[in-house]
Amino acid sequence: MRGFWGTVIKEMLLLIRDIPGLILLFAMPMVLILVITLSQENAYESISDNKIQLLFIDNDRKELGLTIEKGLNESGYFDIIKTFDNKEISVEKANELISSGAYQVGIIVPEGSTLLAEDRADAIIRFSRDSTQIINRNNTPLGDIQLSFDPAIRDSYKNSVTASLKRLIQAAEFQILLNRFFVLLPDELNEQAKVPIKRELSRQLGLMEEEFNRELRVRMGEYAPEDLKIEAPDRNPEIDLKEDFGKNLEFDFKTDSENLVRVREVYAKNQEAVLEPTLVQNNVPAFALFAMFFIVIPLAGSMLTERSQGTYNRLRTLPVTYLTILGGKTLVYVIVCLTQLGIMILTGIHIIPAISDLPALEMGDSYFSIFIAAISCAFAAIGFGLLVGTMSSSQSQAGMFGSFMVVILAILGGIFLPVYMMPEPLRYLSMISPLRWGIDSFLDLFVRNGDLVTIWDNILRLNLFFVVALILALRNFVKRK
Amino acid sequence: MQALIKVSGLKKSYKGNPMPVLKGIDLEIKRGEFFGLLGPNAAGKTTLISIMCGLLKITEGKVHIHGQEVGNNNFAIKQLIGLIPQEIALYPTLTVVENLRFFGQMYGIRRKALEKRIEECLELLKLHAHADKRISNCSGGIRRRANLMCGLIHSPEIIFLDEPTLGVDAQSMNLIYEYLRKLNSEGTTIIYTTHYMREAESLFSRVTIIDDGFIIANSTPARLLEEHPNCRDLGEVFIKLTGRELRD
Repeated sequence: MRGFWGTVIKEMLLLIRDIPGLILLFAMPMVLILVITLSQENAYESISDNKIQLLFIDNDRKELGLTIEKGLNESGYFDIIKTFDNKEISVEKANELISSGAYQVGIIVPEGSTLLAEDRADAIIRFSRDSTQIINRNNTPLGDIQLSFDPAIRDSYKNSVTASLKRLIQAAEFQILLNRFFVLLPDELNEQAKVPIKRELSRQLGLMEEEFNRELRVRMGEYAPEDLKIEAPDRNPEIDLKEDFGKNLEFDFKTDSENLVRVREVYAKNQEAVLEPTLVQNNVPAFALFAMFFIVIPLAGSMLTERSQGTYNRLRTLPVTYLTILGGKTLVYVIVCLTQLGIMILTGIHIIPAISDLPALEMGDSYFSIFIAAISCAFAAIGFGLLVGTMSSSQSQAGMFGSFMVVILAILGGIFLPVYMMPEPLRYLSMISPLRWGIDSFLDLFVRNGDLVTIWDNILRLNLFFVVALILALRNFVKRK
Repeated sequence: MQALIKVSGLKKSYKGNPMPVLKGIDLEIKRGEFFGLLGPNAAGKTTLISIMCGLLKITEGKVHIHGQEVGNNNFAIKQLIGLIPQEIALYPTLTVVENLRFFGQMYGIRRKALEKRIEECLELLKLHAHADKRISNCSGGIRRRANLMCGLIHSPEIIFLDEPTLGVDAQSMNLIYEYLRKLNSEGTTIIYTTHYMREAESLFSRVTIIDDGFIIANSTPARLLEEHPNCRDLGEVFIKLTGRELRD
């Protein structure tokens, strides 16, 4: 029992004397919880609190566009963006901004949409007067609204936004339909009233004629001609009138086939885009990158083992530059990272489609760009590992700090939850995460069909991060007591 | 003879500790000397060796090796020296040969010459039978011998040995002594720290005793015994000079 309590006291003393370890032990989970909770806030609140930035291009500038815009404004869910760099956003610019991932959603109302919708409404309102109207209705073109999405957008998010936008569009359709109904109603009533009135007049004339004939026969007596006959009325005029009006006053515009506007959902693409966004296209690069950054654990671990075993001091007496020593480590771990990525890609191409209904990963044809992105991500991950390895004073510290930081950087980088679904402060904070630079590069290549020109800024950031981390690691490595 | 290593006015303090570890060391070590550095625990022996190897920053004073100032990652000095630290500074998951090869490569020895040198090293310290054993699977004696050879793979002119026989059996210890004597007889300068006074008597051509950051004796073992006629051996001289009080 003494041994047990002795061990307890020893472990307690070791723990409370490791101040950085204690900070990591208690502060890091708190930070983790905060970051995860904040970043997922939107996922639970759907699209209610944080506004979705939506590019709105209204080339129609009439009722349809105006009603949709009013609805978007009144819903409070959307932040309508109509200008970029103080210029009105064109359809081409919107496509460019959305396909590049700068914005996730756009709505395009083409010129003449309202007129088309009104024509369609007129055709629907009049459809039952005679059979030619049905033909007319089917031949009337629909207004055409385009919902444009970032190719890298998550399906759940897209569905949620689409449902909201479709409800708004339906409201606009109904508004147009109602307006047209009241515009057409007086003419329609006049037109439709003509038939029963004529018929009634004719019937009344017929009745008058009958009455006249009867009176005439009575008065003429035996002089009356043979063909002078009385035909008694066989219908109740009141019922006839109702039936006539009722038949002609039917309006049916409730079915789906009778929408005024066709809503097209498209993924914004650059001109040569061929890749279709899928879960595999998103998840394979995201989690490959996540795994890549976990290189921090073995890398930092190996450095700290060297330090604790004395090989670190021996290395420092060798006639080689410290850059040589760290460079050697970097090369080995770059190979490890690239192997990791290769395995993940092969999994996406061969294993996922084999064991599920999901499609295989498509990599496009920018192999060189993918290689550059992969190697830059590997460098950034290794830079981070070297930094943690030279900053930490024990393996447990490096392990805890390293893994917590990777998880936090991954959350901020949008590995688990897309950045556009995060609250605004976190969206800005995500810009400092190397994992975001990496995932953006891979999504540009795998989903948006980008190339080296598209991803150059993120590649630069990743490599700069590596250089800065390496300089700091070297500084820590050579620092003599 | 000109000093190979010259230490002048050396002081060393560690951050957060106001008491300096070395309080003004002046020392000269000549080429070909088997120089013993003795002192009680925390006297500053390892600190002095670490400074001479460029591992620690000098607070005050200067250290020159071959006329060149130590520090600032001086490659010329690094090529001259070999450090055998107290701890087994080897990679436990690598074999004896793999460790030797790694350190040999780091000293820039060419492949053929390196393989020849590795063979020599294995032969000299009787490591052949254990050449392909991982360090983690080797006994303490083999680890010590491998640790020694990794510091000598490049045949340095100056060797710093910090308690190299710690925890080694008599047979291994004897083998290590023989090898070091051979190297010294061939002209290698050896700076050696130990707590074993017999080692000091049998190996060292000159002994320096440091205590509490100062040099308190600097002479040959024979001269020290002459200077303290009441002492039967170097151990007694050491106790007489440093006292019986326990050290931290």
